[in-house]
Amino acid sequence: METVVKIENLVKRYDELVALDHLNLNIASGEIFGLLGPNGSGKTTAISCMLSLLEFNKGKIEIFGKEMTPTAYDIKRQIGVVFQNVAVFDELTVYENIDYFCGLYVYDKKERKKLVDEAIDFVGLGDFIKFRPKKLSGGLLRRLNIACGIAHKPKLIIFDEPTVAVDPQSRNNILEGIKRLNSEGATIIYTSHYMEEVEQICSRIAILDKGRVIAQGTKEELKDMISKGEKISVQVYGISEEQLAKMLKIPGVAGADFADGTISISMNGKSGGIAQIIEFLNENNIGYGRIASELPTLNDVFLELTGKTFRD
Amino acid sequence: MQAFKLYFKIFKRSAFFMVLLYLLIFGLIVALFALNFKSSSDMGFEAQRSRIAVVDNDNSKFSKAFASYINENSQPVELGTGEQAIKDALFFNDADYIIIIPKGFGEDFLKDGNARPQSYSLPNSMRAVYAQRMAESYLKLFDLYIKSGNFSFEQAKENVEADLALKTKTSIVSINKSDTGSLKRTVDYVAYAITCMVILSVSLTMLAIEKGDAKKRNLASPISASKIGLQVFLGNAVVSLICCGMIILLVIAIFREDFFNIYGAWYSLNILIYTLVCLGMSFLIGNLVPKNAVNAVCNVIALGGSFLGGAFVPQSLLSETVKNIAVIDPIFWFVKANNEILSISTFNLKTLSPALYCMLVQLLFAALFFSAAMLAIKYKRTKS
Repeated sequence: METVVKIENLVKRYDELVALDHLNLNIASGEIFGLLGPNGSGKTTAISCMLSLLEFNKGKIEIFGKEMTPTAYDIKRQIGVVFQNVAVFDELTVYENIDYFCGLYVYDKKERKKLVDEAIDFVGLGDFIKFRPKKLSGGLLRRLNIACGIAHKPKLIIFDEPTVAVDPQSRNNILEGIKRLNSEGATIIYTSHYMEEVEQICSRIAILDKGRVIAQGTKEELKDMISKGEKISVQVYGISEEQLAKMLKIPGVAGADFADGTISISMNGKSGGIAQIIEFLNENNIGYGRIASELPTLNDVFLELTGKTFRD
Repeated sequence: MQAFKLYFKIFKRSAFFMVLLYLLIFGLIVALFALNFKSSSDMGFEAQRSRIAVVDNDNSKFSKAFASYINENSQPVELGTGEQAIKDALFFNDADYIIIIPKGFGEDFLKDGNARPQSYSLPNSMRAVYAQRMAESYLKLFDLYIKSGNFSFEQAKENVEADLALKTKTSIVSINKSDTGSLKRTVDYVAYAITCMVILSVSLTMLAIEKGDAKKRNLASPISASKIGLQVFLGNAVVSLICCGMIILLVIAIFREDFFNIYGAWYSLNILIYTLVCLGMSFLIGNLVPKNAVNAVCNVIALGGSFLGGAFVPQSLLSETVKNIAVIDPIFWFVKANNEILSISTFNLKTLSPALYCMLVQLLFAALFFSAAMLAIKYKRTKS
């Protein structure tokens, strides 16, 4: 697949603080690429460097095969950006805001009108075109922010934490919208510190910590990197010490504990151990009730790789 | 020209109302000022009559003729009897000049022409001087006719009155300085209005455009930052010129023909130059001051500068210390330029040089503000 963004050994320092420490990324055309990391891990700095909003100390950024510089206007023309904070003018209406930002890329009035109307339809702001931003709710504002970034139909769209402080319904709408944009051909870079969102929509993910990529791949590849596997909980009426010891001999079972009527079983590596557990319970005439399976999350990946959670 | 168009949309919604408000207030004040001035000044020339009281104790033929002439050519004042009445009339400013004709005055005068009536005049009064001259002229002329020996008493009286009735026609050919003075005071006051209008227009609009996150979108776009900056600056310049034009039009609307002369032209040039100073100042404020502080800063600069610079109080009333401090206030140079323009009666390079010097100082202020603004922009960019 064609590489859309190539970042090599990117270093950005703020005095003593190293915000990006030899960052390397390759983003292919048609991907939804997730940049996942806790606050302060360097996601927004990386985005700002990509957009040439920030000067960096070392490294190279190529977008669409050309070096990205502040004057690379032919590259900028193909990029859309949705910033973390709502980046619109309070004095303009919804329509005027989208029209203005689209006008920075598309000069033909007729074409622009069509694109603006399409963007309004896309984010569902048709009933609010004459509203000023201050009259919009948080969710609607986020939609306006997205419309301003995508109206000119860019090939590469960067979303920098677009769901911060957004209610669950609006968040789902935004995520669905991003998937739609991707299905229409846009390559997406999505930064977030919400691992669930990244897991939900991204085809490939890079986990950032202290300005470094600590892991990169699909979500399955990332989960395979850690020792922790599936965790299965089974409510039982009773189990003997003997049966519990026997359970540990099932292939893939790393550990089993019984407490308060529940057996907690830790599996090694990939998922798929639940069938074996049920079979074991039936064979040993162990009566059971509710069975729950918990797969490892990206937070577990982060925890294992860094020794801390996203929220730390 | 997306950013240029954006500028006007934002200006319309963030500062236009305030600019109109300032223009309206300024217009009202200037209109009241002009009306007040026009009612207290006359465009033509009208002779003033002195208030004279004549007390004729002689009742001779000559004294009657003399008293009659004085009464016909003055505002006669009735006077009570006694010395106290004379003192009261002068003390209470009821009469400018009092003539007491003593008994036998007519006979004495016709004998040798040297006799004079007793007179009292209001101290430091021009009209008293005119009254004295009128009486003296009558007596001297009458004496001349009598002494010539060719005229009877009646003929002499008729000739004297005919001679003194001759009047000189007066017409005003030069520009009425007091008119331009009133215009000048209004133009001084323009400094306050234009400072407020330009600072509010430019600073508020710029701050809205330069708002952090929206600005980031501009920077991420395929239009260069310098191009957007230039379009915004062009917007600033156009809005400032509109403010300047509106102010000049308002002054013209109020003063009309008084403005259409060489003084009006030079005042307009001075206003235009001062607008550039305000533009530079606003550009700096727009880059330094947060949005919620713009109104306060605008008031401090406009009011403080106007008082210090002599826009509200004539510079002639300012102390030397204040004037020395005021040299750092552009309004001081704006008002000084107006003063210099007003003092010119013949316009040439030599007479204009003091005014041109003041305008040059204002241009230096404008350049200083622009340079400081550019430094502020560079500092902000480096910092971010």
